Amino acid sequence: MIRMVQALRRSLLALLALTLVPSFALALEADTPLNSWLLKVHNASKQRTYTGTFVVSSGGNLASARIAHACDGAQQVERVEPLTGVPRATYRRNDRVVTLYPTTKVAVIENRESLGLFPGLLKSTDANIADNYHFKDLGAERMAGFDADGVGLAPKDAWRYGYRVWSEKRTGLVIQLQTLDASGRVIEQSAFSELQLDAPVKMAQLVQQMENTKGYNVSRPTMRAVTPQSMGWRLTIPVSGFRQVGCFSRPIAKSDKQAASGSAMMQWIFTDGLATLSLFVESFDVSSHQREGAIDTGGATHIVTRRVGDWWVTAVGEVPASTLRAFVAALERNK
Amino acid sequence: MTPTLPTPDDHVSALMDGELQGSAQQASVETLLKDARAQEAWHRYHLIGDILRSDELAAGARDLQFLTKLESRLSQETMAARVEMPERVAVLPPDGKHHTSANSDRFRWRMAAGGALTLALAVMAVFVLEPNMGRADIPMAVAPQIMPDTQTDVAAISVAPDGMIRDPRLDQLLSAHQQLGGHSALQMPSGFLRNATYDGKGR
Repeated sequence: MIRMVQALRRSLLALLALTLVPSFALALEADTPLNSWLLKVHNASKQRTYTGTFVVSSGGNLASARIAHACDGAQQVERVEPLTGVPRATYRRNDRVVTLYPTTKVAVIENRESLGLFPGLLKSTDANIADNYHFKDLGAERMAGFDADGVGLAPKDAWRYGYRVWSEKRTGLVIQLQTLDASGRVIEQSAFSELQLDAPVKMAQLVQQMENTKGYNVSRPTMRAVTPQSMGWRLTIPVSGFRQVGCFSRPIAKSDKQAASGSAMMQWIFTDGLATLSLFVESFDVSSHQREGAIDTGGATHIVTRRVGDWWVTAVGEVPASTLRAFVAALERNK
Repeated sequence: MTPTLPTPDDHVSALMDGELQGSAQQASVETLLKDARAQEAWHRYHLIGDILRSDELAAGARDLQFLTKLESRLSQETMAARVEMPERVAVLPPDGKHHTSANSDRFRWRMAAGGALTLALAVMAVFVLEPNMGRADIPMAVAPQIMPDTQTDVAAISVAPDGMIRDPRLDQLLSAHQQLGGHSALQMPSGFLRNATYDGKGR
């Protein structure tokens, strides 16, 4: 009994260590070709310095951004400057994310702990991505001026989308990612249209830009970790392949100008390892909650809204709308 | 003598149908070149007429496509009008004779155009506003049949032509969802870069 407890404590400590050291490149045993490939592409982005132009095609819409990424072994910093939409620059240093909006002089500072979780996820026993996706080699292709290896991740059921990923041959850096629907049609694509590996990016300069919030209104969105049970909710029948990875309570801002009304919203997050979805639950308000049903943003992300008793549920995720509907239907209020 | 016409629209449609002659025609053309509203009306009438006469856009499911296209064209048109107008003016018959124009039953065409627009708008409104209820829930044990989500095609109209969702509440939720997207194994670098690049929100 004592030995069991000691073993449990050791493995818990190990897991805790994994989550607390996000930038440490872990030499995990990759037991399947899929897992070893996932580790390779994940680590590649942490070990190279590069600049380039990134393009996202979602539905019929195109967006692009200039990217600069630097790393020095201990930390990684990147800057994303979109060339479309609202002028802004998003900086990331490990899991600290700062977005600056120069026109409105707003700075949003977030600590995205989930960014560091990935290698640890592979270690946990119920995180088997291979249960949900077939891994397939697609062969070599040339893109953005580099030789790339293609990999197909075909969904094993209709609850999720498929992916095609091309990573640079030498470094493993992902150059192009496509999301495919059930009929094999590309519904979303994101790729480097041009890429300079080992570009001379000055990390110190990026960090300085990121922390220079003088003259900006700083906003720090806050979240409180909760359990769905404590919020009064449960999922009667889980959707196959998805597991919950977090539940938070966040204040609802009625508008940018008004202070938060004091009411809170629950965000319950699920993932199948590649796709994620969030169930947002808030009190029903007839003035703002008017349209039930599915909303197609044109790309891989779908939104489904529904009234459940005195509550309003909004499900958001990179999954088919039918999956979101299944989650919403399974959501039940504790008696 | 230069007659002064009460509204830009009236003289625009008169000009289009070749009903104006001589100095009246010239005055109308001059007004057209200066008045942005008149130019807008000019283009709108031509567009409606052309589309209604086109075989491609038969009534029915195509109407929604047409409306989206028309909407985006119109939203761009106010700025482009000044550049286009000289071409249109050059097409007028030079001899000033009263020609029977293609839409000689002008009034009837305008009524038909307005009626078709109203009908299509009403159809669209019904589909968008009707809640998605009564749809049988999928049994959990069985993966859903792969069928196109027809309801979502219609609901896509709520997304503006440039892809931005106009509902600020939904924008906030999208943002909150992406903030926690690190759980995807593909988050680095693609997922994070994608979310930072394609920000379908307006702040």
